Amino acid sequence: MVWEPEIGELERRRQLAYEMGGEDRVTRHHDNGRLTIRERLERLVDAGTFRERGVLAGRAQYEDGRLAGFSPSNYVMGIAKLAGRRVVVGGDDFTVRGGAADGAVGGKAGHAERMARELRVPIVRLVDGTGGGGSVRTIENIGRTYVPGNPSWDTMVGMMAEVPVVAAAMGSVAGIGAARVAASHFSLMVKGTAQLFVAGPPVVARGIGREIDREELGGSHIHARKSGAVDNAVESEAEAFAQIRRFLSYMPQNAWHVPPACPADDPADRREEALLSLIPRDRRRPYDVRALLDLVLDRGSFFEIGRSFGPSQVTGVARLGGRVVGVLANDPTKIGGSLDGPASDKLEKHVDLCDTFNLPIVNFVDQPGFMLGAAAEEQGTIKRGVRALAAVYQARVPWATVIVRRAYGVAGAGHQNHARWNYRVAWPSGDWGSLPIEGGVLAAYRREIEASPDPARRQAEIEEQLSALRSPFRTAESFNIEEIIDPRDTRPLLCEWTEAAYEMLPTIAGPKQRGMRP
Amino acid sequence: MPSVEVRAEWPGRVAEVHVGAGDRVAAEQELITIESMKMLTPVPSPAAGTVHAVAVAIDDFVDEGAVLVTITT
Repeated sequence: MVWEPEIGELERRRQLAYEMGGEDRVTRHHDNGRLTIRERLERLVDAGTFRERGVLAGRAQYEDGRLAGFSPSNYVMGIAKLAGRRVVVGGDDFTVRGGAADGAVGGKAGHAERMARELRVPIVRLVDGTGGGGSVRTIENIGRTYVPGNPSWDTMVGMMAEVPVVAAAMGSVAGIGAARVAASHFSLMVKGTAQLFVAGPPVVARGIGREIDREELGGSHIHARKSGAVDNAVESEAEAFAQIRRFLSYMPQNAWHVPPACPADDPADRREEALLSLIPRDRRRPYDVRALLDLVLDRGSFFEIGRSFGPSQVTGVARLGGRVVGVLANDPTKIGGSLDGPASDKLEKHVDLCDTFNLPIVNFVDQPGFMLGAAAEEQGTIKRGVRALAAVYQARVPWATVIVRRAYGVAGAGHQNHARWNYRVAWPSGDWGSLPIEGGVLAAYRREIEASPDPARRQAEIEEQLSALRSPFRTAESFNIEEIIDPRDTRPLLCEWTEAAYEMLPTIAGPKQRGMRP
Repeated sequence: MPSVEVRAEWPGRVAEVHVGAGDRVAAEQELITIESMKMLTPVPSPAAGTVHAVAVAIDDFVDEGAVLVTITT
């Protein structure tokens, strides 16, 4: 065996890499309730499928030309199978220099990104590190400062239009680490053990003189609720891996393909009686929109994305007859289901996601309009709202609309692109207009009402006259709503529509002219 | 005893008050109904406990973040 010494050396170096930051640091990491990056990758992907790239990369010390010490790269990555499908996976090793990005060695993270893009397969980033900010030491190492350039950003932006990108914050992530989480199609963070921020507490204290702890600064209550930087907060690392696997099960490998079908285990002709009583007759009473979704979509197939951010808008993915669809709905228990700034951002992102990866969209509409009031104006509701409407109008995937109750105003009108053909039906509870009668009468008939000897009575009379014209059947007479259906038929009809949508879907697959932004 | 302030998550008009000081309440029980965007929206109790005080009355206008009810748990 000519090369035996080198094979021995190879094995020895691999073992050094597997030791990560050393026993003490690994124990400390475990004691903090966290798995190491190697354990995480093992649990995420199918058993025995992980093929590592770059195990030998690291920083070595030599004595008399012999390897005397080795600190492995703190970015571990490779290619694997996840639910039988090829994916690129990678993540930071917190036990080596706290996962700081400059400890990755030789641009390993960028290599993983380019591998996913070239192979056109999804990438999963398990982020557990900081950015260059944790590495002022670099200045000492290279003997100079440097003009910053975000590594691989061109690839990461391009990938948003091409392959599914999933990112999970697994610890405190800052700087470029936080950016790598936010620049994704689906992101999550582990409650309590993960925080995300532009810069961590010491830098905040220096920068703006405010002492604040990690959780208060960037815990899941901030990012999965208020900022929308992260879609889902999960209870444990195990739940993070389960959600990543679940999300990817609805995605195609890339934008050139349609989503994978599942055997349909729920009959397409299931007609649920409960749908007849779900919407209260009193228009001012809310109902449980998720109960509606469960009755119509394939049983147990609805996977909600970003539930706590902009909660009046519900977004998720599901199956109809085994075929993947993107789901939009309004939750009347949150600001009446209206569209405010956060809800608009969420709608925009979800429509873009579905359009990028060829998911037909089903929109269950009960939309009273944009959120009103000074706070909503300050949020930039109209600016963020028109971006969401632009996304609706730019989408090219098949679109189905079920108006379950209200469709009012500019936001209500945004339930679909009216210049396209869409499959649209309404339930008998349908109620629509530019302005609701209750609020609009005084404005439209002011002179007549004020001239009346009993203005309040005159207003009530006009409201009553107009309400008599409110029946959705009158709208259907003019074909302004194409069909009013028995709510029990919603599932059978949508299953048929989805089947038709998937017949045309391959003809529009491929990156869209408009690339998606994170 | 720890107390929890139940706050309005959105601006609106207090349409219904379902509890009074001293009432025992269960988690998720509806405390107040706020009419916002023409929708009667329930405000559920975040925890089981006793109503310490109700800070609003019917027809009050409340802003986002206003304290509605205090519960001791």
